[in-house]
Amino acid sequence: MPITAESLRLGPWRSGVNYSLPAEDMPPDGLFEMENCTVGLAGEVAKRNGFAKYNASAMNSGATVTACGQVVLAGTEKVFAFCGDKFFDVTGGTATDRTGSVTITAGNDYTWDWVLAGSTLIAVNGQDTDGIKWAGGTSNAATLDDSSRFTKPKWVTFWENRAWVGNINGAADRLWRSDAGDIETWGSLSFNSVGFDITGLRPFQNYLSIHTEQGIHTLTPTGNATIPFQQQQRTQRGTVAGKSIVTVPGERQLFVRNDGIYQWSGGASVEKISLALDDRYWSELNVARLPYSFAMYYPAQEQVWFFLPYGASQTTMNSVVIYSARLNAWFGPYNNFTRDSAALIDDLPHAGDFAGRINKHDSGTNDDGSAIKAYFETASIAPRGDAVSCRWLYNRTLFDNTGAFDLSISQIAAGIVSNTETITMGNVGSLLDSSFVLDSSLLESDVSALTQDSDLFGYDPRTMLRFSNFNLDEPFTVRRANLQYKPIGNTRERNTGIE
Amino acid sequence: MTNLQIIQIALRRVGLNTGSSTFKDGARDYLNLVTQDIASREKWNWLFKGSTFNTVNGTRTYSLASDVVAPLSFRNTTEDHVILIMSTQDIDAADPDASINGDPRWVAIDGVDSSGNIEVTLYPEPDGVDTIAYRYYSSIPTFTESEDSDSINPYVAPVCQPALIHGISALYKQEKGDDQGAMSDKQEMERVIAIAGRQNMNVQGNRSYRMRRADESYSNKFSFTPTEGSLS
Repeated sequence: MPITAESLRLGPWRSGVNYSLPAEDMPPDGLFEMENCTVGLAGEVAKRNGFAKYNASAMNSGATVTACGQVVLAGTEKVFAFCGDKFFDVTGGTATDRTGSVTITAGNDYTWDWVLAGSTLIAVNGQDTDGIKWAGGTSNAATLDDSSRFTKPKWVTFWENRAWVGNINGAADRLWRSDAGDIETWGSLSFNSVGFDITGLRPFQNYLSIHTEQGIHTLTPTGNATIPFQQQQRTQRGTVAGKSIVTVPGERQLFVRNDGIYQWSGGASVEKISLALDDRYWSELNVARLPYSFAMYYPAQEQVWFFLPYGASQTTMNSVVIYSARLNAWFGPYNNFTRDSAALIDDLPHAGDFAGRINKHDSGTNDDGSAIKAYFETASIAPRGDAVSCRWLYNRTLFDNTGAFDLSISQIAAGIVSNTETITMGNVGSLLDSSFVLDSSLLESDVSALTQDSDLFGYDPRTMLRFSNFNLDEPFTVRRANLQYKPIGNTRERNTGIE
Repeated sequence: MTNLQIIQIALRRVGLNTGSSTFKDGARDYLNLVTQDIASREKWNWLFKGSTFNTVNGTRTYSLASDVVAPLSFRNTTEDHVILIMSTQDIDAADPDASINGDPRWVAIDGVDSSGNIEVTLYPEPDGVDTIAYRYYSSIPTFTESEDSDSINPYVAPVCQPALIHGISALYKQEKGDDQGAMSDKQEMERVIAIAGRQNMNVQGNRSYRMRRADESYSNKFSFTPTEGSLS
């Protein structure tokens, strides 16, 4: 006999997570809170993939990896890392010390800004006197010749066939450029001053963007030998963290400021795009450490990963929020790990830790052998408005067949005693080409979403759900939830809460 | 079933969390209402009980057990004779100054004592210690949380226990505004009580009842006298 009920659908969650809205004001396709979950293109929410060690043996006795990356040098793809006071060739996961005679000062905050300058890797950290260059092969790193023009540069980039460094010792607002086609020859007058401390450099569209906290300045080629570049301040806001500047397709530049994450499209203004992270997420960050935050672009997923310090006294980057350029939405954070640097290696996000290792992210179903604790919470919807009480009957969850694992579903509402039900995901059927028996087996589907029902309880105008799984190697992908309810009508509540 | 089992099944039907003390307290309140309702419907066999008290020389009034709802009969087991239930007016007429004592032959229901227990007056005033046995229909106590683990079988027969569940859920759904659901549960409750009532009638096996003769020397006589016409 059919149940006389009405249905409320939550998801697909294409709006991602929104920490700036209360659950009651969230739309059905929004998420109130989440950890260690991703939002896919179809709006499905899945437990994030895990990470594993890229280099099996820790580098430099477990020192901090202050930079890592992958570049093509002399026609060969090379993976490199700065770890403590050494520089390593880590190609293939085996670390070879290529420090040579260069000076590298160890320190968690002495992270390296690097760029592929033609066929040479060059890097600076704002701490050591000279920049470093590496040509790959079996050679060691060497000191970058700067014609004795500057020391301790913080930022480096390569644009218009020149190397550029900014924020040097004693002149934080100065930007030096090498000669065209020669990254080790620096003219005595080959510099610009922007008036404010330079906080990052990135080529963008047909400019070189020079970030300061007070605004983004650009250099545009003039074609004039005397004044080869025109300098112009374009905006009144720039980044505080040069390693957080990321350019995404569509030529949008994203970057971190103290109050959130901004976007610049090349015009006269910047736009804050992280409003969804305000209040319940951004207010928990240690703003004083944001200059050490960093970000990376993950092309395969069109995601930008921002590594941020979550917690009032958190110094290292322990929280990753993700911006989906496809969905124009946010999700995350990913947590339960701390990182000091990040880069794309073999088309996957990799990040350096504080124990001498590069970690391959978005891979596998566990965090280097540990369980991933993942959960997400939906909006709290009142399908008939706040005046109409509903009896909540049951929930039907649509999920992908990722394995026969348990998924906990908690029901939350002001007037309902919280209750947790468990559904077992996975297919009870058999594969057609292996265990299927005619006239006996159910045919397993690996393409269709499966469903499972769980009980709901109580009387309240609204309710919300929390999905969670904290177990090892138990991924889940939830597509949507359908909550069945019976509208009771306008009922007067005598007290707040459970009655 | 235990009280808690009944409460939790009812809560499940209402759609409320079965572990919440708030909801369990609410359901227990309704359990107490429903048991009183059911107890008042019939002379349930499972509420038929007996007890005794001892007379004291010079004391005329005695309190019956706290669960007595309707006393049915009294007898003096020491002296081996029945005690007739009379009215207080009969006793007042027989002994206006309440001075006669001896072996009590009559008993009158005489209100309640300070605790609310039914009180009886004996006539003549006992002059010694006799054991008075009596039969009665009992009440169902008001249950508290401390009795949640107790079986409810002594108070409501298993055949009637589903009515408790339906009754609780009907009242709770009414509280929550679900009149449609409450009506459905109320119908189920009445259906179960009707079944229990039929079983209650058959509990005495093949015993049959008939009206007694007018000249039989029992206290509650029945007379039928046609004033005209005939019984054809």
